[in-house]
Parts: sequence; C-alpha cells; structure tokens
Amino acid sequence: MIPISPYSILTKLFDSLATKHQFIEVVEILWLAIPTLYKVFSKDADNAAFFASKGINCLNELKIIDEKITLLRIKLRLFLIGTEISAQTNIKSLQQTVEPYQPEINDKRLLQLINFELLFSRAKLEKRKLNSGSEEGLKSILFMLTNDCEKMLKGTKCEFEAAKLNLWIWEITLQLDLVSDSSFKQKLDHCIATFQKYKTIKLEIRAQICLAKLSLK
Amino acid sequence: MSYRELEEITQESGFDWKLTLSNLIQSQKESTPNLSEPPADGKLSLLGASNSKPRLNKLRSRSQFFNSTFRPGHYFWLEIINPSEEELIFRPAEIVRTVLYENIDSDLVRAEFEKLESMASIAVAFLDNVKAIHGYHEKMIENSAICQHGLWHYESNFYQKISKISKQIKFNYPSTQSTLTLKDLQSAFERHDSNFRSCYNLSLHHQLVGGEGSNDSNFSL
Repeated sequence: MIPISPYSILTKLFDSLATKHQFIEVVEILWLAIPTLYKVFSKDADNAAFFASKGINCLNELKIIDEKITLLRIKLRLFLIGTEISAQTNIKSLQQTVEPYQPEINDKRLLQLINFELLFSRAKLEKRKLNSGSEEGLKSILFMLTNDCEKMLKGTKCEFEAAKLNLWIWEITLQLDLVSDSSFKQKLDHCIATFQKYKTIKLEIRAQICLAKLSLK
Repeated sequence: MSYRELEEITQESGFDWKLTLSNLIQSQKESTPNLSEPPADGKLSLLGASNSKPRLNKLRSRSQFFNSTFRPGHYFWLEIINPSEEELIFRPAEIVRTVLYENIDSDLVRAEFEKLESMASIAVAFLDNVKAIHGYHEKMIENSAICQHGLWHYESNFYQKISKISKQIKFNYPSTQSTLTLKDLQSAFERHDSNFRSCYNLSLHHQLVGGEGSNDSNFSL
C-alpha cells in the first residue's frame, strides 16, 4: 500500500455536510489526543497540561450542550489530575474538578467509571502523601480501595480497571502481610493475562513481582 | 507541510503544488533574500579536494536538492525552511494567516474543519505508532488517549473512518528500510507542532458550531 499524506486525505474525508455533530466527533478525538501527544513527545512538561486546559476553555466558550462534550471535559479534567499526580504537584480538589459536569451524564455505567477514576486518583494521592512504612496509612488506603473503589466497579464489567485495582489491593495486602486467600495466585494469573491483553508491561511486571513474593512466602 | 507530504498529495490527488507555489513565489517580490545560494559545481570540486568521497557525494546530493524549484527563504506568501538535510518545510507567512483570519468566510471555515479532521487522523496515527513501539512511560500516560479501557475506550463510525486512514500515514521516510523508532516519531511530531497548536481557533470553531447555544451550524457545503 502506498503511504499517503494526511493532507491528501482532506478532500476525501470531507464528503458530507459538516454539522455540529461532526465537529463534536472530531474534537472528541483530537482535543484529548493533542495533550496526550504533548505528554509523550514534548520536552516541556507543562505543554500537556496547557493543551488540556486550553481544550477545556474552548469547550466552555463554545457552550455546546452534548453528553459527548461533557464526557470530553471530564476526561480532560482527569487527564489534568493524572498529569498533576505524575508531576507530583498539588491538586486543589479532586471532586470539585469533575463533579459539576456529572449531572449532564445520563449513562449509569459511565458515571460509575468516572467515580471510580476519581476514587482511584484519590487513593493514589493518599499513597503519595503517605510516609513509607506507615501501617495505619496503608490500611486506610486498603480500606478505600476495597470498600469504595471495588464497589464502584461492580457491574461495569471493566476487566482492566478491576485488574489494576486488584493488583494494588494485593500489593498492599502483601506489604501488610495479610494474605489469607488461597485463590490469590489464580487471581493474579488472571490479572497478568489482562495486562498482557492491554499491553501494559509495567503493570504486568508489578503483578509478576507480586506473584514471586507470594511464592516466596 | 513538508516537501515529501506535498509530493504525496500530488500522487494522490494530482494537485500540482509545485506549479501553484512557484507561481506564488514568482508573482511576489521576496520580502527577504534567500538564506543561501547552493554551492556551484566548481565550488563543490574545491570542497571535495579537502574532503572524503562520501562527504563529496553528500554535498552533491544536497546541491541537487537545493537546486530544485524551491530554496529555503522567507517569501511574501510563505516561508520555506530547511530543518535538516534534504528536508524542506513549507509554512504560510504569519501575515497571510493574520489577514485570512481577520475576515472569516465560509471557505476558511470549511478549510478549518478539513484541517481538524486531518489533524485527528494524524493524531490517531501518532497514538497508534507510539502504542505499537510502547514508546512511553506507563505511569505518565494514565488517564490519556493512550488508554483503551473503561472510560477511555472510544468507538464511533467517525473514529473507524479516520482510523483506517491513519494506518496509511507513515512517519519515516519511504527510503528508510529500518523500523520506526521513537526518534522518528519525535521528529515527525516536532514538524507538526505548529499544526497541532493551531487546532484551537475559537472564533472559527464558533462559526463551525453555529455560535453560542445555537443548534445550527453556519457552515454547509
């Protein structure tokens, strides 16, 4: 196949009326992809956050009432939270950043997933603040993960989120020496298979380490 | 846009970009002179006397490249820059963009929409390639377009359409047999930096979606 230039695609792509819905479909992809690409390629770490904020501002200015746009806003907010967690900067308020948009989402499953992402981010932040070796702190995070996050995922059938959550629960459980479940190994194997499916190498390695630690016990 | 990308347009659409751009360049006086004149053959021979054979060949090929229709420089309508050997990038002059965007007409709105669609295809191509070579730190890309699960999973007819197109977009040079590396993607991304930055033109987007709170687009074909 002859590689073609993206620019030659223009005339081929544009064969129907450009409506607001088409615009929404384009920005839904583009305005999340751009900050992501800056996060991967840009030498300036602030660029990713800059473009995510710019996208949010543009969406606010355009005042389009559409569930897809609301979801994009939420994703961009979550993107910013992710950026702040990885950059280890201070996050003002997790809930406040996303909460105002939630009433505009009608899909129950989507709402569950948004709340899961928020709770998971909160747990990550708590872990970051935690002094290493603080047993009480770890127990409170474990409670947050097993009680709040796990409940939030119920019925969503999201295998990746479940595997990611379980991995974290097991890591802390092992750290606290609380392993009692005999099906632990089997669950970890399932978890590893999920990470392989989604090609998340780092998570897979973490699960393998968990498995190794369990075998050594 | 790079020379190679414009050549690909010609292959695909038959659009004679060379003729159009040379007419543009010739019709206007250059605002500033060319950056440099290509070395003459005689000069090349002299240079070759003190250089190795590969170096001489390199200079010859470079000379042939610069002797093509376009030379790097600042012209009235556009800028031609030469960021690396055998690579030319064409950019509209800033003043042209300013004048165009001062009075937004339907053609410009249409072009802007086409550009957004095109940039979406390019962005998806970048994401697919970066995923294929796992060219990122997993922790860094949490909550981003790289994720394909749960909330981040995305599927629509439009996405399928641009996904098909994005698979045909190549970021390494056709002559290069080696597999695509993160460095190739990085330099391709840098070339598109200004294109991505220009995807947030609020006044044009207002025209596209029909202004504040409106349900109708001002834009039709």
